[in-house]
Amino acid sequence: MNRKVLLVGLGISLPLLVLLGFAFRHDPQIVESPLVGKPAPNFRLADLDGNVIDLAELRGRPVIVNFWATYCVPCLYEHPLFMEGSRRWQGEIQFLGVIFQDDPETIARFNADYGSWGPSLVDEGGRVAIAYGVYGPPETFFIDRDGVIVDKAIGQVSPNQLLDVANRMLAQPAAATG
Amino acid sequence: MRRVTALPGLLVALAFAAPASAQEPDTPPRVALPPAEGEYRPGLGVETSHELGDPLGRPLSGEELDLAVAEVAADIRCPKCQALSIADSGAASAQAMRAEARSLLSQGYTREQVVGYFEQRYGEFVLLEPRARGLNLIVWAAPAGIVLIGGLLVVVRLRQRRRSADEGLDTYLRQVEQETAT
Amino acid sequence: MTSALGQGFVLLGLIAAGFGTAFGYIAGVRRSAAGLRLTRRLALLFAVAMVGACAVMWYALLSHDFSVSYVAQVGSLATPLHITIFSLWSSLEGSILFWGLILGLYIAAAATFQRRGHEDYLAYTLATLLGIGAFFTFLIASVADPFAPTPPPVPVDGPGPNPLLQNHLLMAIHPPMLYLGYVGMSVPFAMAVAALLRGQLGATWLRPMRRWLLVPTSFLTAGIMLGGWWSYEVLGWGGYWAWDPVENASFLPWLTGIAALHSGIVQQRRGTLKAWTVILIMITFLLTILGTFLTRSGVVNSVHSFTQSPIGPVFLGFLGLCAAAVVVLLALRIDTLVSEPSNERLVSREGAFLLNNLLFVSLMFTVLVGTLYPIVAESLRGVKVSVGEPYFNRMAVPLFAGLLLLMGVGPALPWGGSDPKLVRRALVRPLPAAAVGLVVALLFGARSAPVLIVSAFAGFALWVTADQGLRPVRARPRRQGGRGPLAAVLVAPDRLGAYVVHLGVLITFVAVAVSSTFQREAESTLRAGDTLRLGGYEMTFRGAERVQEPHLIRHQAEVEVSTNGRSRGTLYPSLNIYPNQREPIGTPAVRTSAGHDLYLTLMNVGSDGSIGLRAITTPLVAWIWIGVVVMVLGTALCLIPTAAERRATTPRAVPDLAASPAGGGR
Repeated sequence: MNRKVLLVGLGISLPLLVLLGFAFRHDPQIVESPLVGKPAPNFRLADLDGNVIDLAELRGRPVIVNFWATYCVPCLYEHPLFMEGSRRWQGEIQFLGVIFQDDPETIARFNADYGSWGPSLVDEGGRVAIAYGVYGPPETFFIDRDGVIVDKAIGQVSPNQLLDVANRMLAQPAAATG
Repeated sequence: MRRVTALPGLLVALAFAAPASAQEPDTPPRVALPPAEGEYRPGLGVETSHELGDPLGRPLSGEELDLAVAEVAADIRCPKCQALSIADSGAASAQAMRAEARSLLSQGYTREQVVGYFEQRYGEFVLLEPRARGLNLIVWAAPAGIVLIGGLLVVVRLRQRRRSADEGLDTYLRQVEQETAT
Repeated sequence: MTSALGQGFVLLGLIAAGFGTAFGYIAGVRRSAAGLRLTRRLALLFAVAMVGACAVMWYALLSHDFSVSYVAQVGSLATPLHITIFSLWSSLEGSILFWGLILGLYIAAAATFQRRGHEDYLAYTLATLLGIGAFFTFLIASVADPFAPTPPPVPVDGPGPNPLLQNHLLMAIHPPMLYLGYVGMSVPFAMAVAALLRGQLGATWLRPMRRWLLVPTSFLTAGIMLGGWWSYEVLGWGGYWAWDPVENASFLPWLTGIAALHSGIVQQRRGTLKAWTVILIMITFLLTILGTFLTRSGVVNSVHSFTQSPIGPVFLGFLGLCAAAVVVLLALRIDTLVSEPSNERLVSREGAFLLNNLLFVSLMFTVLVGTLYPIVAESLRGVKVSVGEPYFNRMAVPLFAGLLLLMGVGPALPWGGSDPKLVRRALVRPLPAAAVGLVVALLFGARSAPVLIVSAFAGFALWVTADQGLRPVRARPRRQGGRGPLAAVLVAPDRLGAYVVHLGVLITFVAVAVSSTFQREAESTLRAGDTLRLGGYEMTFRGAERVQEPHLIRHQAEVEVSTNGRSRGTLYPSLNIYPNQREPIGTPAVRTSAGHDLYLTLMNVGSDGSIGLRAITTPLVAWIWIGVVVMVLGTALCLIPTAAERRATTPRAVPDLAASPAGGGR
């Protein structure tokens, strides 16, 4: 029995195997955003009709910003949920959709067919998506009354998640803002 | 189930999952190329200045700018693709990020500031070369470490073998001497 | 019905492999000739079962039998015939079945060709191979069953294979080549296990082992090259190697396989490095399993990674089992492999081989650490990080430069290297060639240090390679009179073959260095009639058209290429849109010449008829592929039996089995 070979062999292969075992616990598709807990990057964007929306002016009200596109299947699945959400919290929570690399005309057609849950903002050059570090649609940012990103969803938002974060944001006292 | 990327399994799943309402995908992507710097509609877009701070370098232009953009782009991972940098990828996100890098560099932000901006927004994942600090030092020290340890083993081996070979020769010579003596 | 037939074949394979493993080891321990015969029959039965299973799957694919789940997953009525044939390996379950087929063929080949001269080891070799076969058939029969019946209702049509894989014919040959390389590493591994169990390593082991290692290494070389070529021709980013985790996974066993081939030479010549060669072969096999695990489990972020599947954990278990078996076996038996005493110096042929192994293994570790570090970071820091091209280039380029230097210095040095004067002369003579390399690079405008260093090293190595490779041709006729150069080569074709491989490596090396340093590109939005200029080329956009094909829609741009007003033809870069997929897949148009490639990619097509066009010029790209072809041809030369071997296999000659390894061969 060659002890040296045994020890070196185990010393290399065991950690490697444990490491590979650990790998199963992570989803390679999800990258945590460093922006959660930080102030939301401010933007001024025009919607499909040319109305300009300034994020800073919405301060005092929770905002949900969703990056989406018509070619993205999970975005389509999210659509009814956001329709319901924007109805339920009308006047309380502002829903904003930022178009992620899609044709405004296609978006307009889609909105005409299926309705829209908030302004569809045109992100020229994708600069807002870069400022928010969007990897791909759909990504949803939850911004509280103080303009701080409190949560971020990657992929389709579940009803429970929406309900949970929305209630958390609404529970925050409005007086905290100036 | 997240991005619509080139992951085959995911694609198959999505293909089955796609509702009938999904539009016929016979139109090519009509994502406009990002406009050249300074062509954004005035007043619209995103504020980056207050978080990036003041530009620490001088505004670049011409070939110097091209070079700087290429350098920055080679180190930033394209978020939509897999192992490619935004310099190599033709994906719309990569084009947009190259345009952003160009715009920032032309305003006088340094390469480090621009890379830092992307890292701040997308996380460390976006850097194709991990920063040499903390745990990441493993990945920086490993190659040199392996060469050193291996080199040491080679040297030790050569020493040992030369000694044992000499000994082997000595005993052989002694044997020969003994045999010839008798 | 088809499902049941396929599953029957797989089950038959599992039974044959299971019993074969058991009987083989028993036959090995008892040295029983009857037991070996039985094991050989079971090995052939396993191969037949695998061929049968694949034939059934091909039949199901071609007859569009959607009641078989794999066909429902990758088949479609609109898919062209040839793509349907290749779709056997276009998705997870099918590719594992295909793996089983190749393993079966390798096992049958080992059972057939190793009957003579390798009897001492064959029972253990086949038992080990069948053990691996048992695992794969178990996988096919359980978690990755391609024959599982589709749950009703059975669809009338399917989605077709992944569009990326449909886009180019290279995809038809790249995976089989890679699998032939990966799976083939099982044979030298099994032989190494047999050598350890027998406790001896003689000439009857080393010669066949080298051959069985050479074949898969060569397939792996070709497979990796074809993968790079495919990436270049299809993915449209203008490069061929992105240090993607899955590319790295195929690179790892290649590196250690080549290291083992080189240490085998020392073993052959000097009777040393026996244990080390065995260890390298074992690592190579473990790396093929690791590579497959990385590819198939989806634990790393990669172009190739498939979604998470139950196969991952099962594969990890197999990897663990193999690693444990290897470590225990090595610990128990390695001391039985005794090296012969020999004097070694650093500045000698042996020393160069040691450094060669050091560099190859270091390169392997570097790539392994870089590939796996993201998992470390996520596990310990909870943060996703990337380790990509800039890192790997920075780390690998110096190591590769070291290997290039060794490729020149090593073969020039004499074995033993005792006479300093001889050593000095061997190293001084090629220096003018190094100078020529340097001057050529300077004349072509190279100014960067890495390119200049590579050129000088390459000049040196080229001289030594030609000198060493042609030595028998030049020496023989003088000594043996009327013998032609061909006959002289045939005395030891492996010697010439080895240097032909080195020549191919040199070609590829220089081509990679030059192409990665002098790439230029331009990008612009063009309307019909607009011209994009790059490196003397004028590319005029004539218009785009939309072509409807049965299984895709192609947007194709017509780009007229000219230099100095002279037309150089028309290129048609295109964007292909497959049903069920939003992201279009570009097909670049490439104009290849000996000097450089012009590479056009269509980035997008606007609704107004404008296009986004990217043009890249890359020098010497074609030489990368040519170099690899030369490498493969050189390997083929190495496989021709040497004169000594031909004598040994003819019955009247006295078998040369007792000869010491140091005396055999070159």
